[in-house]
Amino acid sequence: MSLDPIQAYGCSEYRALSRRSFLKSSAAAALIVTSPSWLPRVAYADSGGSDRDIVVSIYLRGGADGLTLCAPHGDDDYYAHRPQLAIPPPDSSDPNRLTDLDGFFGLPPAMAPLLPVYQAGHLAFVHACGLTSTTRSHFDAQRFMEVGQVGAGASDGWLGRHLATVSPLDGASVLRGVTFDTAMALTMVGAPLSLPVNDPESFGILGTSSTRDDRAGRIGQMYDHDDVLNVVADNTMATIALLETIDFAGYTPAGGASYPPSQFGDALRATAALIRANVGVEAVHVNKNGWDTHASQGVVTGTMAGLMDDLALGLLALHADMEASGHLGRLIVVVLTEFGRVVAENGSLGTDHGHGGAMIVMGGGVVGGQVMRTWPGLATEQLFAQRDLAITLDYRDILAEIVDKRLGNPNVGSVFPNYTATYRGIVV
Amino acid sequence: MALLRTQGHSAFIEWQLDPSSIDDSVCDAFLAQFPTLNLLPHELYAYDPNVVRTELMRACVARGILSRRQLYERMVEFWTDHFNVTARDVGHLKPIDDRNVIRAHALGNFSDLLHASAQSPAMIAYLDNNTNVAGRPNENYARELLELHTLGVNGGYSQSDVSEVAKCFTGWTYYNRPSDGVLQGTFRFMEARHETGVKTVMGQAIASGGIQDGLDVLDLLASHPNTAKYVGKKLIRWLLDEEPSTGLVNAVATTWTATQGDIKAVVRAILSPENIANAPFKLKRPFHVMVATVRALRANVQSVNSVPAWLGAAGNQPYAWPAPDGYPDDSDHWKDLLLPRWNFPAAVVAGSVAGLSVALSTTMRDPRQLVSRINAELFHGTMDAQTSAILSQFARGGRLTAQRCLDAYGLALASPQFQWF
Repeated sequence: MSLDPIQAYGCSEYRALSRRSFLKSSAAAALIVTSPSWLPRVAYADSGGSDRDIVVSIYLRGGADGLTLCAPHGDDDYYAHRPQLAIPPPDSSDPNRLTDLDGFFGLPPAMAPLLPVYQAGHLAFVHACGLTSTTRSHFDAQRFMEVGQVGAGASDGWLGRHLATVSPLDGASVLRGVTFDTAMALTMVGAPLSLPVNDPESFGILGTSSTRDDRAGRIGQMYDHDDVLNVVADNTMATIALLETIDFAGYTPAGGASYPPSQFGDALRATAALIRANVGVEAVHVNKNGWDTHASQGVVTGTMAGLMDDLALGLLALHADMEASGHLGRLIVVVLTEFGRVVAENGSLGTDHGHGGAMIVMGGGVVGGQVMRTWPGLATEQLFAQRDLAITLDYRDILAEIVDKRLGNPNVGSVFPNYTATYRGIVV
Repeated sequence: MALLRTQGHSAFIEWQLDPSSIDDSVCDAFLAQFPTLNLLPHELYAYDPNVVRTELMRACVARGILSRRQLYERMVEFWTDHFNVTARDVGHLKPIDDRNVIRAHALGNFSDLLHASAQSPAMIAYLDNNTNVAGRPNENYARELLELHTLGVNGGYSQSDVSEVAKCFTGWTYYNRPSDGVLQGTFRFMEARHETGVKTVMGQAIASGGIQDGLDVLDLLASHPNTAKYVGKKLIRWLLDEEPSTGLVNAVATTWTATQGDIKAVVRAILSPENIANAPFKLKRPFHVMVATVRALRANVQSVNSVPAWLGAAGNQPYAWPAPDGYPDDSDHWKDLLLPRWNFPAAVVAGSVAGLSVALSTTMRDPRQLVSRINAELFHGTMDAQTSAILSQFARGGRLTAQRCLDAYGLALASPQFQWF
């Protein structure tokens, strides 16, 4: 059906509700972002560029179950707490058994493709680790972890502060950080020259083609006058020009790597294209949703198995692509999640929000082939609050060591304020 | 606007607070093309769940563009986020939640809204309460009920309260089999799955037993002062100010408590003339920018079917937020992706958004006349000097063809001024 516009818009109630209609004076000044107070105290690191890693931050949103991602088959209590959800040990005859890593931990079938990367020493798990806050709220836990400070409000993310306190990898870069999503991950908030990019293949100005350049220029001029949006607008214009020079659609992975046909696979494929284009992008963030498995967790087939399959095949492809193209030595991937899940399964073939969990680190500089942990045990009296995997390693120890040793930034005190990190030897 | 000028602020707000008195026949006529909007729960199962979801999403866009009940629709949007249920996760159930929970109570009483949500099959399925059974509780709904729907994360509850609340809601499920006939897709309490015994929630004994356990918890939470404070503050952020003063939060909580959660009274208190006059700018979400674009251009709406994909690319597709907290009400979250905000109006005026067409006057040959017309039509004469000057430069940048006139409209809507409430 067609509508007469005059009839449809007989009144303008919507615009009448607009703030500007009522405002007498500009209050936008209240929103102006001021420099964070820590910034002047920072000595900018200058590590000479090319010997620094490019960091890929992957966040598993929802609280991924660490006891499935990297399962402790050597702990009998794992099987005692999870009669339905534990995966049979590597020495069982069950076709869906774990693949052994180190005699104590094993990979579930969906993660098993990563075994060669682990054996090559390019991938490590870190277990019984995480955020030491006692919160079991997704939203608080994600915020604290991404900001890098327990109890913090939403401000800057740890990766944002890293980029803000280290000199650019490439002084001519117009795009240092990318979140492959429709909004910046809090992890990267605060980073200079950084943007969310939903689809790098179509990141450009649309509309009438004959006026496109003219319109783009005028938009840029208009945003010069907006104190909140001007920087984003500038970055957007520069990023449009940059991404036009990269053929994402025609990108051919090296080494026969095959990214999974998924949003996650697409993001890692685009990440590889950016790294190989050598345009000065030094940090990428990718979100992977869906890990909040309260019911029908599906550790061998089903929900979590599907997520792990996508995760493993994506990491495997990125590893192969970077190794074959000679970039593995300057790649560091960190996989985080807000918390692990309750050790005991619930009545829904799932698990509720827990505490300690597992993280994954991958790259040429990783001390791989290990499951780094101080295992607290899974007997009920050994659990946090009698229900969750205890945390024996703060996730910031891992990230701080990476920031310092692999990302060329000695300002770890600014990246993780009010925390003294203990380096664990996760990277060389 | 005319009503606002002639009758003043209060009359306008009162008019908007009484949506049933506002003639919305144009919007209603447009919505008639979506049959699933009005079906009973069991009737929805005859449709592909993707059709059910798509029609609801299109209806949401159509209402944003066409409805004259704009304050009501803004409240529907608020509660949709507050009680978020990701549509893809719940098969056929979302339209019933939208109709019987959100739209039925958006300007009603909070306690009624909370009770309706707790018994909504969509919410029950989304947060796994259909698997919450005696002896093996599932905490998912209980936690989000406390953290997101009522008290807030710092609202004074403990892990023990979460576990006890979960027990109170054991047995709250819904009829989900075809053999349930006309009951399929409706609430069901299964006494046999309900955990017996006294529970303790926030220091209070919940001892009634049966379905009354859950109802008592909902009453306790709906009337709790921390709920008034937490939800009231969220409403202030939504309607007025992302960083409200403590004084305003307390005043709104007082109204909330005095009226026992009368949402209209709370909205009225928030939208006082003084509060609105002092409110800072707030960034429109992509949904607001896109529906406002269509409204401002007075576009001819043959179909809204292509708009959800635009919203998806901007991260704001209706009912698609993947977590139970709903789309962020936070300018910082939305400010970094400007491209869809620029491209949507450009595409509409170029005629490349299927279903939308503009019938603007493009015969002006004097740039000044064009800019003054855009100012009047899109900004009610409030266009700022920078936008006006740059628009003039664009208009003078080449022969002022009909296409350049249209592009000038699109450019004006891409301006920073249009991004802010």
